[in-house]
Amino acid sequence: MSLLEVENLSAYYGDFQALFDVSLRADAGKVTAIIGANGAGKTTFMRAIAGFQSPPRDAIRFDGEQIGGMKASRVVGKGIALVPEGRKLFPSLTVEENLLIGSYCGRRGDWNLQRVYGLFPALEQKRAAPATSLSGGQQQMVAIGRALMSNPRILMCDEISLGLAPIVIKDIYTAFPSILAEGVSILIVEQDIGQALAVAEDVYCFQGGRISLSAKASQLTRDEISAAYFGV
Amino acid sequence: MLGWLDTILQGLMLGGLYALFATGLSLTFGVMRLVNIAHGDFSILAAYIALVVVQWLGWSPFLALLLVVPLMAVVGYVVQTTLLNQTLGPDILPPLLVTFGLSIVLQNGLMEGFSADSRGLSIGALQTASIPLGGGVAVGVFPIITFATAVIVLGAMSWLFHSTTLGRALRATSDDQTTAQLMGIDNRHLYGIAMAISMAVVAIAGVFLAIRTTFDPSVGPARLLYAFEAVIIGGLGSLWGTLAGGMVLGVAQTVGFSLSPAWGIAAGHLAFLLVLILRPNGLFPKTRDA
Repeated sequence: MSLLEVENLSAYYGDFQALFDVSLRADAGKVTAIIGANGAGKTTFMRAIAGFQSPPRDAIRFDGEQIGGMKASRVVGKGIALVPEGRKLFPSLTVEENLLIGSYCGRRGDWNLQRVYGLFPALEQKRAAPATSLSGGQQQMVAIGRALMSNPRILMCDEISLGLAPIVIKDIYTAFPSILAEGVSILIVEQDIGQALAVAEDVYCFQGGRISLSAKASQLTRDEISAAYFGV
Repeated sequence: MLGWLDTILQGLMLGGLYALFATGLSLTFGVMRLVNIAHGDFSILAAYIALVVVQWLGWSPFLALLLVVPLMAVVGYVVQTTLLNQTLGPDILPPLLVTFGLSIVLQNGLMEGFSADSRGLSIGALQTASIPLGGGVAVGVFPIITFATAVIVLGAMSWLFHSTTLGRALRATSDDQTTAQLMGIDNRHLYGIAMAISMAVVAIAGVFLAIRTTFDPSVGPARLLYAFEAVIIGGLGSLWGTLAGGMVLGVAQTVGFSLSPAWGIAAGHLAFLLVLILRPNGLFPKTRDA
Protein backbone atom coordinates (compact mmCIF):
# COMPACT_ATOMS: atom_id res chain seq x y z
CA MET A 1 0.00 0.00 0.00
CA SER A 2 1.31 3.41 -0.92
CA LEU A 3 1.17 6.37 1.44
CA LEU A 4 -0.91 8.45 -0.97
CA GLU A 5 -3.20 6.73 -3.44
CA VAL A 6 -5.23 8.75 -5.90
CA GLU A 7 -7.81 6.81 -7.87
CA ASN A 8 -9.68 8.22 -10.88
CA LEU A 9 -9.61 11.80 -9.64
CA SER A 10 -11.45 14.38 -11.69
CA ALA A 11 -11.27 18.05 -10.81
CA TYR A 12 -12.58 21.32 -12.09
CA TYR A 13 -11.25 24.82 -12.46
CA GLY A 14 -14.47 26.78 -12.47
CA ASP A 15 -16.60 25.23 -15.19
CA PHE A 16 -13.56 23.86 -16.93
CA GLN A 17 -12.59 20.26 -16.26
CA ALA A 18 -8.89 20.29 -15.41
CA LEU A 19 -8.34 16.63 -14.46
CA PHE A 20 -9.76 13.50 -16.05
CA ASP A 21 -9.65 10.27 -14.00
CA VAL A 22 -6.12 10.75 -12.76
CA SER A 23 -4.60 7.92 -10.74
CA LEU A 24 -1.30 8.30 -8.93
CA ARG A 25 0.61 6.68 -6.09
CA ALA A 26 3.25 8.26 -3.92
CA ASP A 27 5.24 5.89 -1.75
CA ALA A 28 6.49 6.59 1.73
CA GLY A 29 10.10 7.64 2.05
CA LYS A 30 10.44 8.66 -1.59
CA VAL A 31 10.37 11.70 -3.80
CA THR A 32 7.67 11.51 -6.46
CA ALA A 33 7.68 14.11 -9.22
CA ILE A 34 4.93 15.42 -11.43
CA ILE A 35 6.04 17.11 -14.63
CA GLY A 36 4.10 18.58 -17.49
CA ALA A 37 3.47 21.73 -19.46
CA ASN A 38 1.55 24.77 -18.23
CA GLY A 39 -2.14 24.04 -17.90
CA ALA A 40 -1.64 20.28 -17.71
CA GLY A 41 -3.46 20.16 -14.38
CA LYS A 42 -0.51 19.74 -12.01
CA THR A 43 -1.42 22.54 -9.65
CA THR A 44 -5.10 21.60 -9.69
CA PHE A 45 -4.08 18.06 -8.78
CA MET A 46 -2.10 19.20 -5.75
CA ARG A 47 -4.82 21.58 -4.64
CA ALA A 48 -7.37 18.79 -4.95
CA ILE A 49 -5.32 16.63 -2.60
CA ALA A 50 -4.90 19.59 -0.22
CA GLY A 51 -8.68 19.83 0.07
CA PHE A 52 -9.72 22.59 -2.33
CA GLN A 53 -11.92 20.33 -4.47
CA SER A 54 -14.80 18.06 -3.59
CA PRO A 55 -14.02 14.71 -5.18
CA PRO A 56 -15.71 11.50 -3.96
CA ARG A 57 -14.33 10.24 -0.65
CA ASP A 58 -12.63 7.21 -2.16
CA ALA A 59 -10.83 9.20 -4.88
CA ILE A 60 -8.01 10.09 -2.47
CA ARG A 61 -6.67 7.65 0.13
CA PHE A 62 -3.96 8.68 2.55
CA ASP A 63 -2.40 5.96 4.64
CA GLY A 64 -5.49 3.87 3.93
CA GLU A 65 -7.95 6.56 5.03
CA GLN A 66 -10.38 7.99 2.50
CA ILE A 67 -9.92 11.75 2.52
CA GLY A 68 -11.51 12.86 -0.77
CA GLY A 69 -13.64 15.96 -0.22
CA MET A 70 -12.22 16.66 3.23
CA LYS A 71 -11.90 20.38 4.02
CA ALA A 72 -8.44 21.88 3.47
CA SER A 73 -8.24 23.00 7.09
CA ARG A 74 -8.60 19.35 8.19
CA VAL A 75 -6.39 17.74 5.53
CA VAL A 76 -3.24 19.35 6.93
CA GLY A 77 -3.98 17.78 10.30
CA LYS A 78 -3.82 14.36 8.61
CA GLY A 79 -0.21 15.00 7.65
CA ILE A 80 -0.44 16.44 4.16
CA ALA A 81 1.25 19.82 3.76
CA LEU A 82 1.26 21.90 0.59
CA VAL A 83 3.89 24.46 -0.32
CA PRO A 84 1.72 26.45 -2.71
CA GLU A 85 2.87 27.80 -6.03
CA GLY A 86 4.14 31.36 -5.62
CA ARG A 87 4.99 30.66 -1.95
CA LYS A 88 1.98 32.58 -0.62
CA LEU A 89 3.67 33.80 2.54
CA PHE A 90 1.59 35.97 4.86
CA PRO A 91 2.86 39.52 4.24
CA SER A 92 1.81 40.96 7.59
CA LEU A 93 3.60 38.23 9.51
CA THR A 94 7.32 38.06 10.23
CA VAL A 95 9.44 35.16 9.07
CA GLU A 96 9.14 33.48 12.45
CA GLU A 97 5.40 34.10 12.65
CA ASN A 98 4.99 32.55 9.21
CA LEU A 99 6.80 29.49 10.48
CA LEU A 100 4.78 29.40 13.71
CA ILE A 101 1.46 29.62 11.90
CA GLY A 102 2.55 26.45 10.10
CA SER A 103 2.12 24.58 13.37
CA TYR A 104 -1.43 25.89 13.88
CA CYS A 105 -3.02 22.55 13.02
CA GLY A 106 -1.50 21.13 16.20
CA ARG A 107 -0.16 17.93 14.65
CA ARG A 108 2.47 16.40 16.89
CA GLY A 109 5.94 15.69 15.65
CA ASP A 110 9.60 16.60 15.74
CA TRP A 111 9.62 19.76 13.64
CA ASN A 112 10.08 23.05 15.45
CA LEU A 113 11.65 26.45 14.82
CA GLN A 114 15.15 25.23 15.71
CA ARG A 115 15.00 22.38 13.22
CA VAL A 116 13.74 24.60 10.44
CA TYR A 117 16.53 27.10 11.17
CA GLY A 118 18.92 24.18 11.18
CA LEU A 119 17.68 23.16 7.74
CA PHE A 120 17.74 26.72 6.37
CA PRO A 121 20.35 28.65 8.42
CA ALA A 122 19.83 31.79 6.31
CA LEU A 123 16.42 32.29 7.89
CA GLU A 124 17.54 32.56 11.48
CA GLN A 125 19.03 36.07 11.19
CA LYS A 126 15.92 37.22 9.35
CA ARG A 127 13.46 35.79 11.84
CA ALA A 128 12.00 39.17 12.83
CA ALA A 129 11.84 40.58 9.29
CA PRO A 130 8.57 40.77 7.36
CA ALA A 131 8.44 37.55 5.34
CA THR A 132 7.95 39.32 2.03
CA SER A 133 11.08 41.43 2.50
CA LEU A 134 13.27 38.38 1.90
CA SER A 135 14.80 37.30 -1.39
CA GLY A 136 12.82 34.88 -3.52
CA GLY A 137 14.92 31.90 -2.51
CA GLN A 138 14.68 32.71 1.17
CA GLN A 139 10.94 33.19 0.85
CA GLN A 140 10.76 29.73 -0.68
CA MET A 141 12.68 28.38 2.31
CA VAL A 142 10.14 30.01 4.64
CA ALA A 143 7.31 28.44 2.64
CA ILE A 144 8.89 24.98 2.92
CA GLY A 145 9.70 25.50 6.59
CA ARG A 146 6.14 26.66 7.25
CA ALA A 147 4.81 23.46 5.68
CA LEU A 148 7.26 21.33 7.68
CA MET A 149 6.10 22.96 10.92
CA SER A 150 2.81 21.08 10.51
CA ASN A 151 4.78 17.83 10.92
CA PRO A 152 3.62 16.37 7.62
CA ARG A 153 4.01 12.80 6.48
CA ILE A 154 4.00 14.03 2.93
CA LEU A 155 5.27 17.40 1.73
CA MET A 156 3.79 18.61 -1.54
CA CYS A 157 5.90 21.27 -3.28
CA ASP A 158 4.31 23.14 -6.16
CA GLU A 159 6.88 24.69 -8.51
CA ILE A 160 9.39 25.59 -5.83
CA SER A 161 12.07 26.49 -8.35
CA LEU A 162 9.92 28.84 -10.40
CA GLY A 163 11.57 32.21 -10.90
CA LEU A 164 14.66 31.40 -8.83
CA ALA A 165 18.31 31.48 -9.87
CA PRO A 166 19.87 28.04 -10.51
CA ILE A 167 22.24 28.37 -7.56
CA VAL A 168 19.33 29.17 -5.25
CA ILE A 169 17.36 26.21 -6.58
CA LYS A 170 20.32 24.01 -5.75
CA ASP A 171 20.36 25.37 -2.20
CA ILE A 172 16.71 24.50 -1.75
CA TYR A 173 16.95 20.99 -3.19
CA THR A 174 19.97 20.37 -0.97
CA ALA A 175 17.51 20.29 1.92
CA PHE A 176 15.57 17.36 0.44
CA PRO A 177 17.75 14.50 1.76
CA SER A 178 17.47 15.92 5.31
CA ILE A 179 13.70 16.20 4.98
CA LEU A 180 13.44 12.62 3.70
CA ALA A 181 15.67 11.49 6.53
CA GLU A 182 13.10 12.87 8.97
CA GLY A 183 10.63 10.40 7.49
CA VAL A 184 8.78 12.94 5.36
CA SER A 185 7.80 11.80 1.87
CA ILE A 186 7.86 14.38 -0.89
CA LEU A 187 5.66 15.02 -3.89
CA ILE A 188 6.89 17.75 -6.21
CA VAL A 189 5.51 19.54 -9.21
CA GLU A 190 8.46 20.70 -11.23
CA GLN A 191 8.80 22.35 -14.63
CA ASP A 192 12.52 21.75 -14.75
CA ILE A 193 12.58 18.16 -15.99
CA GLY A 194 16.29 17.71 -15.32
CA GLN A 195 15.73 18.72 -11.71
CA ALA A 196 12.72 16.44 -11.38
CA LEU A 197 14.58 13.42 -12.74
CA ALA A 198 17.56 14.16 -10.52
CA VAL A 199 15.64 14.12 -7.23
CA ALA A 200 12.67 11.82 -7.83
CA GLU A 201 12.37 8.07 -7.96
CA ASP A 202 8.96 8.00 -9.59
CA VAL A 203 7.86 10.43 -12.26
CA TYR A 204 4.40 11.17 -13.60
CA CYS A 205 3.87 13.33 -16.64
CA PHE A 206 0.59 15.23 -16.93
CA GLN A 207 -0.78 16.30 -20.26
CA GLY A 208 -4.15 17.94 -20.84
CA GLY A 209 -5.48 16.80 -17.46
CA ARG A 210 -4.48 13.17 -17.93
CA ILE A 211 -1.42 11.17 -17.04
CA SER A 212 0.54 10.59 -20.20
CA LEU A 213 3.45 8.77 -18.63
CA SER A 214 4.43 7.18 -15.35
CA ALA A 215 7.72 5.47 -14.75
CA LYS A 216 10.84 5.15 -12.63
CA ALA A 217 12.98 8.23 -13.20
CA SER A 218 16.02 6.07 -13.87
CA GLN A 219 14.35 4.25 -16.74
CA LEU A 220 13.10 7.26 -18.68
CA THR A 221 14.60 8.49 -21.91
CA ARG A 222 14.43 12.05 -23.22
CA ASP A 223 12.34 10.92 -26.18
CA GLU A 224 9.73 9.25 -23.98
CA ILE A 225 9.47 12.40 -21.90
CA SER A 226 9.19 14.67 -24.92
CA ALA A 227 6.41 12.50 -26.31
CA ALA A 228 4.51 12.49 -23.02
CA TYR A 229 5.14 16.18 -22.38
CA PHE A 230 3.98 17.55 -25.68
CA GLY A 231 1.70 14.73 -26.73
CA VAL A 232 3.45 14.29 -30.06
CA MET B 1 -8.36 80.30 25.87
CA LEU B 2 -9.03 77.91 28.72
CA GLY B 3 -12.51 77.35 27.35
CA TRP B 4 -10.90 76.02 24.18
CA LEU B 5 -8.60 73.77 26.13
CA ASP B 6 -11.62 72.38 27.90
CA THR B 7 -13.44 71.78 24.62
CA ILE B 8 -10.48 70.03 23.04
CA LEU B 9 -10.03 67.86 26.13
CA GLN B 10 -13.69 66.79 25.94
CA GLY B 11 -13.22 65.99 22.27
CA LEU B 12 -10.17 63.85 22.90
CA MET B 13 -12.05 61.86 25.55
CA LEU B 14 -15.02 61.46 23.20
CA GLY B 15 -12.53 60.00 20.73
CA GLY B 16 -12.16 57.02 23.04
CA LEU B 17 -15.85 56.23 22.66
CA TYR B 18 -15.64 56.52 18.88
CA ALA B 19 -12.63 54.22 18.86
CA LEU B 20 -14.67 51.62 20.75
CA PHE B 21 -17.34 51.87 18.05
CA ALA B 22 -14.84 51.71 15.23
CA THR B 23 -12.51 48.90 16.30
CA GLY B 24 -14.90 46.04 15.67
CA LEU B 25 -15.93 47.46 12.32
CA SER B 26 -12.30 47.64 11.28
CA LEU B 27 -11.63 44.11 12.57
CA THR B 28 -14.40 42.39 10.60
CA PHE B 29 -13.49 44.28 7.47
CA GLY B 30 -9.83 43.40 7.92
CA VAL B 31 -10.33 39.71 8.60
CA MET B 32 -13.18 38.81 6.26
CA ARG B 33 -13.78 41.89 4.08
CA LEU B 34 -17.20 42.19 5.64
CA VAL B 35 -18.63 45.68 6.02
CA ASN B 36 -21.16 45.31 8.80
CA ILE B 37 -23.84 47.90 8.09
CA ALA B 38 -25.67 46.75 11.23
CA HIS B 39 -22.64 47.49 13.43
CA GLY B 40 -24.18 50.59 14.99
CA ASP B 41 -27.52 48.87 15.51
CA PHE B 42 -25.84 46.00 17.33
CA SER B 43 -24.35 48.55 19.73
CA ILE B 44 -27.86 49.87 20.39
CA LEU B 45 -29.11 46.29 20.87
CA ALA B 46 -26.41 45.91 23.52
CA ALA B 47 -27.58 49.15 25.15
CA TYR B 48 -31.14 47.82 25.36
CA ILE B 49 -29.98 44.50 26.78
CA ALA B 50 -28.05 46.47 29.40
CA LEU B 51 -31.20 48.49 30.09
CA VAL B 52 -33.15 45.30 30.73
CA VAL B 53 -30.42 43.94 33.01
CA VAL B 54 -30.28 47.23 34.92
CA GLN B 55 -34.06 47.38 35.34
CA TRP B 56 -34.63 43.73 36.24
CA LEU B 57 -31.62 42.99 38.36
CA GLY B 58 -31.02 46.49 39.64
CA TRP B 59 -27.37 46.27 38.65
CA SER B 60 -25.17 49.22 37.80
CA PRO B 61 -24.60 49.58 34.02
CA PHE B 62 -20.91 48.79 34.56
CA LEU B 63 -21.82 45.52 36.25
CA ALA B 64 -24.29 44.81 33.46
CA LEU B 65 -21.35 44.80 31.03
CA LEU B 66 -20.28 41.50 32.59
CA LEU B 67 -23.44 39.98 31.13
CA VAL B 68 -23.92 42.06 28.00
CA VAL B 69 -20.41 41.70 26.58
CA PRO B 70 -20.28 37.87 26.61
CA LEU B 71 -23.88 37.70 25.41
CA MET B 72 -23.15 39.96 22.44
CA ALA B 73 -20.03 37.93 21.67
CA VAL B 74 -22.18 34.80 21.44
CA VAL B 75 -24.71 36.65 19.28
CA GLY B 76 -21.85 37.74 17.03
CA TYR B 77 -20.49 34.21 16.68
CA VAL B 78 -23.91 32.74 15.92
CA VAL B 79 -24.92 35.46 13.45
CA GLN B 80 -21.60 35.08 11.64
CA THR B 81 -21.48 31.30 11.43
CA THR B 82 -25.15 30.70 10.65
CA LEU B 83 -25.95 33.72 8.48
CA LEU B 84 -23.11 35.96 7.36
CA ASN B 85 -20.68 33.19 6.39
CA GLN B 86 -23.19 32.17 3.72
CA THR B 87 -22.91 35.60 2.14
CA LEU B 88 -19.12 35.74 1.89
CA GLY B 89 -17.51 35.15 -1.46
CA PRO B 90 -15.70 36.94 -4.22
CA ASP B 91 -18.54 39.47 -4.39
CA ILE B 92 -18.50 42.10 -1.62
CA LEU B 93 -22.14 43.10 -2.19
CA PRO B 94 -24.12 40.20 -0.59
CA PRO B 95 -22.77 40.73 2.96
CA LEU B 96 -23.41 44.45 2.54
CA LEU B 97 -27.05 43.80 1.62
CA VAL B 98 -27.64 41.21 4.32
CA THR B 99 -26.18 43.36 7.09
CA PHE B 100 -28.20 46.28 5.75
CA GLY B 101 -31.25 44.04 6.14
CA LEU B 102 -30.12 43.09 9.65
CA SER B 103 -29.89 46.79 10.47
CA ILE B 104 -33.53 47.30 9.48
CA VAL B 105 -34.63 44.19 11.36
CA LEU B 106 -32.80 45.31 14.51
CA GLN B 107 -34.16 48.85 14.42
CA ASN B 108 -37.73 47.71 13.91
CA GLY B 109 -37.44 44.86 16.36
CA LEU B 110 -36.19 47.25 19.05
CA MET B 111 -38.94 49.70 18.11
CA GLU B 112 -41.55 46.94 18.62
CA GLY B 113 -40.05 45.82 21.90
CA PHE B 114 -39.09 49.12 23.50
CA SER B 115 -41.03 51.81 21.56
CA ALA B 116 -39.37 54.90 20.11
CA ASP B 117 -38.99 56.60 23.51
CA SER B 118 -35.55 57.85 24.40
CA ARG B 119 -33.87 55.88 27.14
CA GLY B 120 -30.72 56.26 29.14
CA LEU B 121 -28.58 54.39 31.61
CA SER B 122 -27.64 56.09 34.85
CA ILE B 123 -24.49 55.65 36.87
CA GLY B 124 -25.64 58.05 39.58
CA ALA B 125 -23.31 60.71 40.90
CA LEU B 126 -20.46 59.41 38.75
CA GLN B 127 -22.35 60.71 35.74
CA THR B 128 -21.61 64.33 36.54
CA ALA B 129 -18.53 63.99 38.71
CA SER B 130 -15.45 65.77 37.42
CA ILE B 131 -11.87 66.35 38.38
CA PRO B 132 -10.73 69.98 38.33
CA LEU B 133 -7.41 70.42 36.58
CA GLY B 134 -7.04 73.97 37.81
CA GLY B 135 -7.64 77.26 36.06
CA GLY B 136 -11.29 76.49 35.47
CA VAL B 137 -10.59 73.43 33.34
CA ALA B 138 -12.20 70.22 34.54
CA VAL B 139 -12.50 66.78 33.06
CA GLY B 140 -15.44 64.49 33.72
CA VAL B 141 -14.85 61.22 35.51
CA PHE B 142 -17.02 59.26 33.11
CA PRO B 143 -15.23 60.55 29.99
CA ILE B 144 -11.97 59.51 31.65
CA ILE B 145 -13.38 56.05 32.32
CA THR B 146 -14.52 55.83 28.69
CA PHE B 147 -11.15 56.87 27.35
CA ALA B 148 -9.26 54.57 29.69
CA THR B 149 -11.52 51.69 28.66
CA ALA B 150 -10.78 52.41 25.00
CA VAL B 151 -7.04 52.38 25.67
CA ILE B 152 -7.32 49.13 27.63
CA VAL B 153 -9.46 47.47 24.96
CA LEU B 154 -7.15 48.57 22.15
CA GLY B 155 -4.12 47.47 24.16
CA ALA B 156 -5.73 44.08 24.73
CA MET B 157 -6.54 43.73 21.05
CA SER B 158 -3.03 44.74 20.09
CA TRP B 159 -1.69 42.06 22.43
CA LEU B 160 -4.14 39.53 21.04
CA PHE B 161 -3.10 40.25 17.46
CA HIS B 162 0.63 40.24 17.97
CA SER B 163 1.29 37.83 20.81
CA THR B 164 -1.21 35.00 20.53
CA THR B 165 -1.79 32.10 18.17
CA LEU B 166 -5.35 33.29 17.58
CA GLY B 167 -4.06 36.74 16.63
CA ARG B 168 -1.56 35.26 14.19
CA ALA B 169 -4.35 33.20 12.66
CA LEU B 170 -6.54 36.30 12.33
CA ARG B 171 -3.75 38.24 10.63
CA ALA B 172 -2.90 35.33 8.34
CA THR B 173 -6.55 34.95 7.36
CA SER B 174 -6.76 38.67 6.74
CA ASP B 175 -3.77 38.39 4.38
CA ASP B 176 -4.89 35.32 2.45
CA GLN B 177 -7.76 33.15 3.61
CA THR B 178 -7.08 30.37 1.08
CA THR B 179 -3.51 29.84 2.19
CA ALA B 180 -4.63 30.17 5.82
CA GLN B 181 -6.76 27.07 5.32
CA LEU B 182 -3.61 25.20 4.29
CA MET B 183 -2.31 25.94 7.79
CA GLY B 184 -5.31 24.17 9.28
CA ILE B 185 -7.21 27.37 10.00
CA ASP B 186 -10.96 26.81 9.70
CA ASN B 187 -11.76 30.20 8.23
CA ARG B 188 -15.51 30.00 8.92
CA HIS B 189 -14.95 29.39 12.62
CA LEU B 190 -12.34 32.13 12.70
CA TYR B 191 -14.79 34.57 11.10
CA GLY B 192 -17.18 33.70 13.91
CA ILE B 193 -14.50 34.53 16.46
CA ALA B 194 -13.70 37.82 14.73
CA MET B 195 -17.38 38.80 14.77
CA ALA B 196 -17.63 37.75 18.42
CA ILE B 197 -14.74 40.07 19.31
CA SER B 198 -16.25 42.84 17.20
CA MET B 199 -19.61 42.49 18.96
CA ALA B 200 -18.04 42.31 22.42
CA VAL B 201 -16.22 45.60 21.85
CA VAL B 202 -19.19 47.35 20.27
CA ALA B 203 -21.32 46.20 23.21
CA ILE B 204 -19.04 48.18 25.52
CA ALA B 205 -19.38 51.14 23.15
CA GLY B 206 -23.18 50.85 23.14
CA VAL B 207 -23.46 50.74 26.91
CA PHE B 208 -21.06 53.68 27.33
CA LEU B 209 -23.04 55.63 24.75
CA ALA B 210 -26.23 54.88 26.68
CA ILE B 211 -24.62 56.24 29.86
CA ARG B 212 -23.25 59.31 28.12
CA THR B 213 -26.42 60.31 26.33
CA THR B 214 -29.95 59.11 25.58
CA PHE B 215 -30.64 56.54 22.93
CA ASP B 216 -33.55 55.14 20.95
CA PRO B 217 -33.82 52.38 18.31
CA SER B 218 -32.99 54.71 15.43
CA VAL B 219 -29.60 56.06 16.51
CA GLY B 220 -27.50 53.09 15.33
CA PRO B 221 -26.76 54.25 11.77
CA ALA B 222 -25.25 57.55 12.95
CA ARG B 223 -22.91 55.51 15.17
CA LEU B 224 -21.93 53.43 12.16
CA LEU B 225 -21.10 56.61 10.26
CA TYR B 226 -18.84 57.93 13.05
CA ALA B 227 -17.20 54.53 13.30
CA PHE B 228 -16.47 54.55 9.56
CA GLU B 229 -15.05 58.04 9.79
CA ALA B 230 -12.82 57.15 12.73
CA VAL B 231 -11.47 54.11 10.88
CA ILE B 232 -10.80 56.03 7.67
CA ILE B 233 -9.23 59.03 9.42
CA GLY B 234 -6.97 56.76 11.44
CA GLY B 235 -6.00 54.56 8.53
CA LEU B 236 -7.49 51.20 7.71
CA GLY B 237 -6.05 48.30 9.67
CA SER B 238 -4.31 50.37 12.33
CA LEU B 239 -5.63 49.84 15.87
CA TRP B 240 -4.05 52.90 17.44
CA GLY B 241 -4.77 54.87 14.29
CA THR B 242 -8.44 54.18 14.98
CA LEU B 243 -8.08 55.80 18.39
CA ALA B 244 -6.37 58.80 16.77
CA GLY B 245 -9.14 58.90 14.18
CA GLY B 246 -11.76 58.86 16.92
CA MET B 247 -9.96 61.69 18.70
CA VAL B 248 -9.77 63.82 15.55
CA LEU B 249 -13.46 63.25 15.00
CA GLY B 250 -14.27 63.92 18.66
CA VAL B 251 -12.31 67.18 18.77
CA ALA B 252 -13.82 68.37 15.49
CA GLN B 253 -17.33 67.68 16.80
CA THR B 254 -16.89 69.32 20.20
CA VAL B 255 -15.17 72.34 18.69
CA GLY B 256 -17.99 72.57 16.15
CA PHE B 257 -20.58 72.30 18.93
CA SER B 258 -18.92 75.04 20.93
CA LEU B 259 -19.13 77.37 17.91
CA SER B 260 -22.76 76.56 17.26
CA PRO B 261 -24.84 73.55 18.28
CA ALA B 262 -25.89 73.13 14.68
CA TRP B 263 -22.27 72.77 13.58
CA GLY B 264 -21.13 69.92 15.77
CA ILE B 265 -21.89 66.94 13.56
CA ALA B 266 -21.07 68.82 10.38
CA ALA B 267 -17.65 69.82 11.74
CA GLY B 268 -16.90 66.14 12.31
CA HIS B 269 -17.84 65.32 8.72
CA LEU B 270 -15.76 68.25 7.45
CA ALA B 271 -12.72 67.02 9.36
CA PHE B 272 -13.29 63.60 7.83
CA LEU B 273 -13.51 65.03 4.31
CA LEU B 274 -10.42 67.12 4.93
CA VAL B 275 -8.42 64.05 5.91
CA LEU B 276 -9.80 62.18 2.93
CA ILE B 277 -8.56 64.95 0.62
CA LEU B 278 -5.18 65.52 2.26
CA ARG B 279 -4.33 61.95 3.33
CA PRO B 280 -6.64 59.52 1.53
CA ASN B 281 -4.97 56.57 3.28
CA GLY B 282 -5.59 58.03 6.72
CA LEU B 283 -3.18 59.32 9.32
CA PHE B 284 -1.51 56.00 10.15
CA PRO B 285 -2.04 53.75 7.15
CA LYS B 286 -0.94 50.18 7.63
CA THR B 287 0.87 49.62 4.39
CA ARG B 288 2.22 46.24 3.55
CA ASP B 289 3.99 44.86 0.53
CA ALA B 290 2.16 42.05 -1.14
